[in-house]
Amino acid sequence: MAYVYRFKELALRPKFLIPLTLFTGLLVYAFIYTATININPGRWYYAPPAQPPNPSYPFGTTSMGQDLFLLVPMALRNTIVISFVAAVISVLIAWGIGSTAALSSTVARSALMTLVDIVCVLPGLPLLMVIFYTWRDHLTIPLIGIIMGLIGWAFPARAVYAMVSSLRQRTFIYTSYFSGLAIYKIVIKDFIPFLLRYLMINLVSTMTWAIGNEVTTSIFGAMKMEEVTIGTTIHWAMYYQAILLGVWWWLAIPVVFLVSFVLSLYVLMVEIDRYIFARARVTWG
Amino acid sequence: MHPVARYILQRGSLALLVVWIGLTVTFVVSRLMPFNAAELLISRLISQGVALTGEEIEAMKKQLLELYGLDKPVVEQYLVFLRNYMVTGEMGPSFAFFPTSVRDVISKALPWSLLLLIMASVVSWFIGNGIGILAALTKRRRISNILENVAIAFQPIPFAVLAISFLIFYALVLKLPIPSGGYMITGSPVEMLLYMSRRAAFPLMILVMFGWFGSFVSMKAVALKMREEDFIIYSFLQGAPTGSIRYMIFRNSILPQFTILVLGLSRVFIGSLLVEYIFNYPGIGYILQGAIANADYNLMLGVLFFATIATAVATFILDLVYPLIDPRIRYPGQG
Repeated sequence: MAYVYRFKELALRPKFLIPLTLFTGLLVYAFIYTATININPGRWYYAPPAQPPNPSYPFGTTSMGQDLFLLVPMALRNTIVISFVAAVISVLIAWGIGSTAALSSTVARSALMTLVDIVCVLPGLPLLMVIFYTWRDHLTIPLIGIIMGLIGWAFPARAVYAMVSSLRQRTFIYTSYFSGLAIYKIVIKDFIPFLLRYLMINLVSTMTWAIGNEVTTSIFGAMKMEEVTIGTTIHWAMYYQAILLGVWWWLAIPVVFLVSFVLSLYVLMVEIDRYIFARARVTWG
Repeated sequence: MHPVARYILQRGSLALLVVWIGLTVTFVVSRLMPFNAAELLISRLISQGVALTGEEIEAMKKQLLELYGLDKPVVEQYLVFLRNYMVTGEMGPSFAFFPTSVRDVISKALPWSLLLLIMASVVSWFIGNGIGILAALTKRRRISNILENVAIAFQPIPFAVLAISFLIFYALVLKLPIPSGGYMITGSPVEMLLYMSRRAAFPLMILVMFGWFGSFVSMKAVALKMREEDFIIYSFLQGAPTGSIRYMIFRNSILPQFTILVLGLSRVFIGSLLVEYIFNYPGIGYILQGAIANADYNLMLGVLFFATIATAVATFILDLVYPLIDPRIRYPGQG
């Protein structure tokens, strides 16, 4: 009995390779390239204002004289950090609460699930806006992520609850149990492969949720506006009437980068998930 | 007790619980502000050059201090806060729309937002599920697969980004005007509803255009799985007509979808706030933007509170419809 993972098969699929390349490229651009920038790309007028994309400014410049080629990776980096921190925090809470609810007694379960239902219905976005706006002088990029994570765990918690409570009643778990397999071995061999899969899905979906919230709150202006993120870039572009002035690249370039990041992340997840689900089953021999 | 009555009582108390917790959160947020909100609001008002006499300023300061109750112990502050919000509806003046009170500003915008919110979630739910069940039952695999791929590609993209992209496309490529215009004060309720629906059509279109993917994908998945269920195969082998088998698949797949509709309301809320702001629809999102631009904390807290109430009430209304759809609530223990 063994788990058979054929990594080569996964890695050579073009459907996996293309998003992987894109994703890695974006990460390099956002994290490694920004480390080499000597100036603060959020500053004004270090470049000629409102230049359309041209050889010296490949993505053009904003009306405030910021070079988008330097601004966008910085913004992307901050947005990725926010969403990743938010995803980690919210997944931790969701897994704690969801699995506790699934494994505990009826009273504790219904209390926890009522709590989850309530948090699901609470409008997170206006709450986030008020919090961010009130404390914007004290916010840092990771802190924004932490606050988002503290608010957005309810939907993942429901999913975890549903998954764990269905998993513990599956026949193969009972088979292992009645065959005398030790509990920790049941957890490692039977639970973990399923849980890992859902953990990844949870992480990615919460990341896209956090990205959406970051962009939305920033567009409304309820964010630490001097931090460069994709959302604040869009906000300033709209504030300075980029569409009316025809400076479309100011809006379009951040949007294109964000969409390619989200899509490549998502496709990667789907491909890995498909691979794990098909191959990670128990095979004989 | 009749099961339906018990069910409604249950959901009603849950809705009340939601409102209460939303209020408590609002209270905590307002108390944890890193500055004295009353002083700040007064100083902002004066610096804006609003002509006020000394007594008026003093009176307002007193009113605000009373509203925030900053000189009393926390428990008492909390009770006063609950009374102000729940019973008297006194949330202080709005500074973005001075001298209108927060209550009036919000209650004017709320019907607009609710109309948009409920229509958007219900319409996109119907469209998504309709296409989803058709895609699961059709023999034209290719069309349904293309649709599914499109939906899966659009689904992870944050709504804000989709709306902005659409705005760029709409304003720069199609070069169409963005509809604007606001409140209609006079007129009969029917006239007003007609006017509001006409005004809501454009933002609704955008919300629905990007809103049906989720329910489409899950409906298709559920219905495809339902086709393999034993009772479907059994009735197929019995020789039941295709129409009735399809109806059975539909009827059973719609149940989990309904939960998604209820729980997804707060997610649609995000989208509708943004669309209201971007496309100048005079709802809560529009007001919220004004509140943020003018540092109007009173109004922000009011919006937060009303958003909680609105989603709680909308969820409750949808919950009331649930017994019509799920017979297990009407006849518990029989199936």
